[in-house]
Amino acid sequence: MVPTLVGAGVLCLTGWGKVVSVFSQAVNIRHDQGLLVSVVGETRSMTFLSVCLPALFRNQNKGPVPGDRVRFEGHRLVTKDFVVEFLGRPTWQGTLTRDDVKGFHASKVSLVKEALLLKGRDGGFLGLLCRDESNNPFLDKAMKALSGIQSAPSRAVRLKVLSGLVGLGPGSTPSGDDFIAGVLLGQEMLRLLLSTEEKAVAASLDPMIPCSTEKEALWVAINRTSDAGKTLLWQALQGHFPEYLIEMVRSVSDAEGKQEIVDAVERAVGCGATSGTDALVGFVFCFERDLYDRSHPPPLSKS
Amino acid sequence: MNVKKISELFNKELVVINMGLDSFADNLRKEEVKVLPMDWKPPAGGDKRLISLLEKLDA
Amino acid sequence: MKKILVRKNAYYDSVFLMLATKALKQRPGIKEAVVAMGTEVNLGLLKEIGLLSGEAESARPNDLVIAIEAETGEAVEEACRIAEEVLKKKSHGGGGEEDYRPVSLEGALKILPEANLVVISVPGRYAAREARQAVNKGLHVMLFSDHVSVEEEVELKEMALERGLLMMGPDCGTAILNGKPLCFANVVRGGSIGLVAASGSGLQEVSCCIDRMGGGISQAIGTGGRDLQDRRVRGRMMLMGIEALKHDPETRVIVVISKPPAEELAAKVLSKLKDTGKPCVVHFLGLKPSGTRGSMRFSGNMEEAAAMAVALSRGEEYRPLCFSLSEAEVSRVAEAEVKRMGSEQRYVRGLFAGGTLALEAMALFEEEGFRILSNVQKGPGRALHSPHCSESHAIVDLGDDVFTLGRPHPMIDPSQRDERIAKEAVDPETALVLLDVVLGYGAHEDPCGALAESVSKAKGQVAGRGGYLCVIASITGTEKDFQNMAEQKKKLESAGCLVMPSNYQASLLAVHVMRKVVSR
Repeated sequence: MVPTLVGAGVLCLTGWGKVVSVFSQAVNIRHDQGLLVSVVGETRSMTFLSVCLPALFRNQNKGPVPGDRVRFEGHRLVTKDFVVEFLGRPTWQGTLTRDDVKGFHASKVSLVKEALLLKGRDGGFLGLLCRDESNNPFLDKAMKALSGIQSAPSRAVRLKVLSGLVGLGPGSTPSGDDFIAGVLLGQEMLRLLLSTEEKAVAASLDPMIPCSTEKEALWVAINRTSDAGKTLLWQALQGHFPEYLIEMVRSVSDAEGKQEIVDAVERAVGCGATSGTDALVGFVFCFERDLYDRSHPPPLSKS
Repeated sequence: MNVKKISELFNKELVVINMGLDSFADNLRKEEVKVLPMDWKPPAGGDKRLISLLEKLDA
Repeated sequence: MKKILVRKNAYYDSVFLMLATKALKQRPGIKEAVVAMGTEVNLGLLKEIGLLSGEAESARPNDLVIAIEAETGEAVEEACRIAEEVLKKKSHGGGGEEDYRPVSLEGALKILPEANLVVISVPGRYAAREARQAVNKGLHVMLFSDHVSVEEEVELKEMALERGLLMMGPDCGTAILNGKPLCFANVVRGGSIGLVAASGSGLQEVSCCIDRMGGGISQAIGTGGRDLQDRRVRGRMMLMGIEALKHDPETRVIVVISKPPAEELAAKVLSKLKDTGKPCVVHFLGLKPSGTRGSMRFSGNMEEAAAMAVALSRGEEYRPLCFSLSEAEVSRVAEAEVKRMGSEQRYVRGLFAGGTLALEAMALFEEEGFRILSNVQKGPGRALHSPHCSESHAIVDLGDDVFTLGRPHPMIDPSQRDERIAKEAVDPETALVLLDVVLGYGAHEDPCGALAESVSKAKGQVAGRGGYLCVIASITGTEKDFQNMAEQKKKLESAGCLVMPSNYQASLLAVHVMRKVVSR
C-alpha cells in the first residue's frame, strides 16, 4: 500500500518498518516501502516525514535501538517500548502558500544566486552555477545530463532529463535528489506566483496531483535512489518540502535587504553536508533555465 | 531590585550559548570562554501563524 | 591499484561521509576516492571511470560504496583499512555527535546545562521570542539584535528585572563581562572601574582610553540604545546595571555613558548613582558638564570621562586633561596642514563608523562655533539634504540605517567609507577629512589597510589640483586587540594621516586646523 500525506500533512501509513538510526535528537525509521520517517525532539530538526515527540528524548537511557521492529497503523506508530500518535502532534506541513512567496521577485533570485556562490559548499553540484571545472565526476555527469535541458522541446521532456539525475552524487541523500527537490520548490513557487491568466493554464497541469503524466518520469525514478533521497522526492513531488527550504523561501520573500537574503542562504546551506547547497542550486536553476514551455513568457515581471 | 544573580555571574566563569552570528562564538573561543555555537533556525520554518501559536503555548 | 568496499544498508550522516571522503582523498598515494550510495546512476558513473568491480556491481541504492584508486597496492589497502575502521565506529549513529550544533535553546541547554549567558544576534523579528525563552530559563541575555519593538523591549526588561537577570539590549553591540569582550568589544585591562553604557562605540572609546591611561575595567554593562532615550523603557537596565555595580566589590568607580536622557530619567540615574556610595563619572554625550556634585563628576567628553574615572580609581584628584600636544605644537601642525591648501578648500568632512564618536565630534565643532550638517542631526536646518552628499561642514554617521540597509556596517566592511572618501576628494571645497577607526572583536581585521589606500589616493587627487587634503583620524583600540594597533597606526601615518590617541583629541585637532582654514 502506498503511503500518503493526508490532509494537512498528517501521515497515514500502514505496514511494517525498522529503526535504522538513533541520534540524540532524532530516531529514523524505515517503512518497508522505502520511506524514512523521523521522530524528532525539536520542531526545528524536521526534515523528512517527521513527527515531533520531545518526550522520547528526555530519558537518554531508555529508547529505541537500531533494528527494533516498528508497526505503522494509520495515524500511529508502535514499537515494543512506545506508541507515537501522529494526530495532534506537530508534524511537518512543508507546503508553501501565496503568502509565503508574495515578496519574491526576479531580482531576488539573482541575489540568492550571488549569496549561494559566496556561501555554498563544494563537493556537490555548486559547480553547475559557476561552471567550475573541479575534479568532481558526479558534477561532470550532471552537467552533461543537464545540457539537454535547453534544447528540450517540452516540459515533459525536461522533467525526463531531470529524472536522470535521481540517485546521482555523494551523500546519504544524493546531490541530484536535493537538486531536483530545489527545482520542484522553484516550480511550486512559480505556480503560486503566476498571474491569473496563466494560472488557469497551470491549473490544468496541476503539479499537486501525484502521478501526473508530466512528472511520471520522476515518480518512476525515485525508486532508483536511497531511502533518504526517495523520501525527500516523494514529498517534494507532492508539494511538501523540508522545513529548512520552506524557511529559506519565506525569509527571502520577506527580506528587505541583501544581507537578509545572504543570511537566509547561509542558514540553508548549513543543512547536511551539501544538501542545502544542492537544493538551492536546483532552485536557482529552475528560474534560470525556465522550464516552462516556450509559448508562455516568464511569469515574473516585477524587478 | 534584586541583583543577586548578576553578582553571582560576576563571580563565576562565563558559560555562553551563542544564538546567531558565528563570529561572536569564534571570538569568545579566542578569549578562552566556554561557548556553544548554535545552528539557529527560525521556529516553525518561519511560518508566522505557527510562531504566534507556539508563543501562546510558551506563555 | 583499485579497490571497492561496500557497506550494506548503510545509514550514515552526510557530513560524516563528506569528511570521510576528504580524509581518504588526502591520504598519500591516493589518486581518487569516491564515497556514494550504490544507486544505479552512481554505479554507472563508477563503471565509466573504471572503478566498478566485484560485489559493488550488485550494490543496492541503500548500500554505501567506497571506491579507491591509488598508486600502489599498499596505499589502497591502507586507505581501505582506515575506511573500514572509521565506518565501523560511526555505524548506526549511536547518539555521540561531537559536532552536533543545537538548533534551539532547549537543545543547547541539554548539551550545556551550566550555561549562564545567551548572546542573541538572530533577525529582529525572532529575537524577542528567543530572549524571552532565555529569561524564562534563568539565563542572562546579551541582545545584539535590533529591530525589536519598544513594547517587546519593555516586556523583556520587566521580565529580566523580576528575575534579577541582565537584559543587555536590544541593539546592544558591546559589553565586557568578567574581563571578556562580548560582540564588538576590545581587550582591555582588568581593574576597578565599572561602566554602564547605552552606547556601544561609547563604551569602546571610554574603555580603551581607560586602558591607555593605565586603568582597568571590572565590568562593562551595555543597556541598548533606547534604554534612556525612550520614556517607556524608563532606563530599567541602566538602573539595574548601576545597582549591580554597587554590590560588586571589585568595582570602586562607576561610569555612566549615554546620550542625554529624558529629564526625569536623568534625575533617577543620578539619584541611583549617589545611592551607590561610590565615586561616579557621568557622561551624557553632548551635554556641557556641570563640574562636580559631591562624589559625582560630569565629563565633557569621553576621554575626559576615562581620565576622571582613572584618577578616582587611584584616589587622586582629577586634573583637567592636557592635549597630548602642546599649544605650540598644535599651532605648528595646524599651520603646516593649512599652508598647502587651495583657496577653495574650506569645509570639514567627518566620516564616522561609530555613531557616538560622530556625535562627540559634532558637539565639539558646534561648541567652537561651527555649523555642522549631518544625517543624524535633528536641529532645524541641520540635516543634510542627502546623507550621501556632503554640503558645507558635514559630519556623517556611516553606521546609520540609511547606509547599512542591505550592506554590512562600516566597522565590518570599510568599502562604503572608502567610496565616500573618494567622493569628498573630488569636491574642491573639502579641506579636512576626519575619521574614526575602531579595532577589537567584531571589527574588520585590517581596517587601516584599505583606509590608508583611500587616504593616499584622496590626498593624491587633491594635490593633483594644486591643493592639500588634511586627514585626521583616531584609533579606538588597545595594543591587546588582534589587529595590532601599532601597525594600524603606522599604516595610516604612512599615508600622511595625522593619528590622535582619542576621538576627542582628533576632533580637537581638527577644530584647530579648521579655525586656521577659516581665518586665512
